Amino acid sequence: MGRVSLAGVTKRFGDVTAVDHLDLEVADKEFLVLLGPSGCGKSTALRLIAGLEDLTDGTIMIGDRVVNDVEPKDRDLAMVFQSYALYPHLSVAKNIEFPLRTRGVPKEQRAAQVAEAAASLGLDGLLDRKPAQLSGGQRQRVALARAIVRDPQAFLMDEPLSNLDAKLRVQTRAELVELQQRLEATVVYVTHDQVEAMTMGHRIAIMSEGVLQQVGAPQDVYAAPANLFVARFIGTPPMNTLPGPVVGEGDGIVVGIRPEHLTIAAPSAGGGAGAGFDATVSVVESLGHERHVICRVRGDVTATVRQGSALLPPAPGDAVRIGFRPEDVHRFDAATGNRL
Amino acid sequence: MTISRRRRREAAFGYLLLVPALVIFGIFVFYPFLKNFQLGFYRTPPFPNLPNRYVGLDQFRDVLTSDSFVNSLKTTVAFAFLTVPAGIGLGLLLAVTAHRKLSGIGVYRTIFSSTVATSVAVAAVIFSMLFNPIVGLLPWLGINPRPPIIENPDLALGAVALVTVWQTLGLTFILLSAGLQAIPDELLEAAQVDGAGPVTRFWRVTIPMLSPTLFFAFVIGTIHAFQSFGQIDILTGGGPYGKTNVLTYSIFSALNPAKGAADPGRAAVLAIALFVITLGLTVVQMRVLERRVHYAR
Amino acid sequence: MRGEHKQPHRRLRRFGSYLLLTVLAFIVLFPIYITVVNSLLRPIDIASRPPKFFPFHPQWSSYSKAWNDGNMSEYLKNSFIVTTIITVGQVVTAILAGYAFAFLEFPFKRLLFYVFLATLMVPFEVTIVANVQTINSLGWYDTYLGLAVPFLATGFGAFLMRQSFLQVPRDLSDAAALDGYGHWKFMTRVAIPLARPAVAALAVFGFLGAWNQYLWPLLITKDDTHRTVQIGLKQLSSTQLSDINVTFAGAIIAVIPIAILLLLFQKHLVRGLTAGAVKG
Repeated sequence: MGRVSLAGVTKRFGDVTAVDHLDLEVADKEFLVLLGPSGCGKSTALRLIAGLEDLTDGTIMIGDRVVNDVEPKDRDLAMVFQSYALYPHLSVAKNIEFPLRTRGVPKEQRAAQVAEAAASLGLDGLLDRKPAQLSGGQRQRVALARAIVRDPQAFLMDEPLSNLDAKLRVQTRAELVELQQRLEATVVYVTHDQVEAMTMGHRIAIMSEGVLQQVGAPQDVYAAPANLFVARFIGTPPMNTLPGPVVGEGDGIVVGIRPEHLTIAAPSAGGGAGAGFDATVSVVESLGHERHVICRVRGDVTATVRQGSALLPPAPGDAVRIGFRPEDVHRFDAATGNRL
Repeated sequence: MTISRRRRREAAFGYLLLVPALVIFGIFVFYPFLKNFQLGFYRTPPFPNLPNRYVGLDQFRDVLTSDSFVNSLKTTVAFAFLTVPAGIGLGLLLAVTAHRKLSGIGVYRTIFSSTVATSVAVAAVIFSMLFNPIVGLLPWLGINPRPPIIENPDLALGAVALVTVWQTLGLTFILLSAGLQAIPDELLEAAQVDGAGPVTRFWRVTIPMLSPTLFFAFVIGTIHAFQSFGQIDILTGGGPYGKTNVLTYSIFSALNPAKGAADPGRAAVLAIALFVITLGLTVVQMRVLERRVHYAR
Repeated sequence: MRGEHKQPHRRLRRFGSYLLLTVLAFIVLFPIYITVVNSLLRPIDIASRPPKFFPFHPQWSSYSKAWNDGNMSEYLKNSFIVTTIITVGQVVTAILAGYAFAFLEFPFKRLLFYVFLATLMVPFEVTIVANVQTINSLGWYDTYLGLAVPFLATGFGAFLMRQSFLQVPRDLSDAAALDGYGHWKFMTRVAIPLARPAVAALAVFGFLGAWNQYLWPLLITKDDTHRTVQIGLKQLSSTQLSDINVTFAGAIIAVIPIAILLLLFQKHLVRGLTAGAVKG
């Protein structure tokens, strides 16, 4: 059983609480993404699961075992580091073989497993090279091969794509998802990139300042963010958050509407059908397939509207009426940030 | 092709900046180096005021086949074997032990590097007390051989080696510590997750990553051992019975009027021998050992 | 449920580490410690059995005796003078040469650089025989000049400064040229300040090396007028057992200046050392 459970997991460094009472269940064969800005505690949480840091409080279970006191080497995990952490003095083959050697797997079996892992990641011609002779993408695949060679209970990945250039990142993203499906592996994946989280995870767990904000399937988190932090973090361009009074709500309310749920029309006398508010066009960003129209609502409150390219573009300085459907509105408490 | 005036001025300025160093090198490094070879060809007469005789390679042959040279060579090699591996091993022990995140570790690290403040003379004086048969602590602890340690033909070289190891410990510690700091933490963490226990991590990750520094320490350490002089001069004066008469000391003896008539011809030959042997050893070390060194790039 | 089971295990491991550290520290520090102790005891007490490990009535007279009768004051003065001359000389020649190699173009530049590096290959012993003769013929035997001049330049210094100057960004030298800076101004106002860590490392290393010299001062001085502290210590150590505490006081006096220097400039020493070792 490749289950990973965190119950009340807390980690303090002196006065700083890096992880605050984290409760999380990762199911067997699940791809769970830990998402959040830098410093939110996601990497610390991963290291706690790996055993590279000691718990201040709480329990971690891998499979059916409580692993609080278990050394990293005995937790039956594999980890892919952001910098890959390949052994520079060993060849690719020996790098992949390392986890097997340390566990006393006999020679012939080692060779077979290494060959299999290398083949599944397309590393066949590179087995005798040293890491310094490989490209970034190749090194990453060696790190992956080293992780899968032992068939551990779970894989931990710490921002493995962040050192790759944009094009390679997109390609590798798909390969990683396909790999996880093929191996039916449990993966805990840390990233700050919400696009990676949305496209790769079965579920996303969003963290901020050590506290878990929300866990759920990407679509659910997108459609129903639990608080303002999640609402602003997920989605590109980010959700518009406006003070309540702009749309006729009370002062203690913050209203959220996604840019694709807004429409732009010429200001009409008398409000027009459906809810809306007035604004002035500030910047029009054209992306080819769509357009982002950034409008100034009042003061320094802005709203971004996503518009299909087929429609006529407004010009900067135009006065417009921005419309929306009431069912697309998310309402949050201004004080706590929580969803209402 | 004419060189423009500005380029000519720049070149002149460049040469000017190099002149001070080149003059010093010329007079005190290159000239003596060459003159040393010439001196080797001239035998010094037993009585002063008689001219030197050109003898060609005869002096080389005589000195290099003499018993005292062979003895010096053996002593120097033995000395290197006693000091270099022990020095690096002990330095490594100190560096590894102090490479932990414990509170107050800074104090320990300062203590471990403290012997850099000592010179060979200071170290020799300090240990001459410890070895002293009457007031020394080693005799009090029961280590009281007859004859006393630094006059003991079987123990003298070991004693001088001990002093040398202690004196160089600080430098070795600093060097190896710096090497350890350069090993990325992630590498050792990856090894942990990959199933390696502390001993495995040490031999399979730490030592290979430390190998460039270890190699450097080894080469420099050997050269240093072959050039040791001060501690021998103070502790044993080359004795007893020539048991600590390393090559540098035999060169010094040949030059020092206090040890009999000065014999620059002989000193020159011995100096050349030392140079060739040290150079040869360094080349051999580079050939044999550097192959096993891993460089990250 | 906290990781309570790990706590005693962890605590034991930590205790073990501290134990090992303390034992090793004791071994390393003991010779110096016992020397300090003995420098403050009377000779009778030093010879007493069991030995005394702590001076309950410190006799500071050994220090004044070493300083005056033992001539440590002379020796220290001589060492300071010679070492300072050598250090200043090494730093200045290194800066000038490093600057030339880094910023100027002239024919045979590469060859001359190899000449500088070649001096690293020539060990000191091969030069002493002829150098003694040279110094004698210059009339510099038993003088500060004779002690210092042969060491006023090192290949290592030029190498280090060249490396350091090469790190100065191209843009800076271009901007300076546009601002009308001649080489001298650029060197003193831009290059040297930027290369300060290397200069400091060179100075510390040079000072340490010069202060600890043994063979050359031994050959070149004949009495206490110019004797440096290392040879002076040898003189002091050949006194009788009745003054053994004075010898130890002398040793401690010889160590103190360097100890202070190193405490102040630890970082620079490490930088100088690792410049050769850790590649990158």
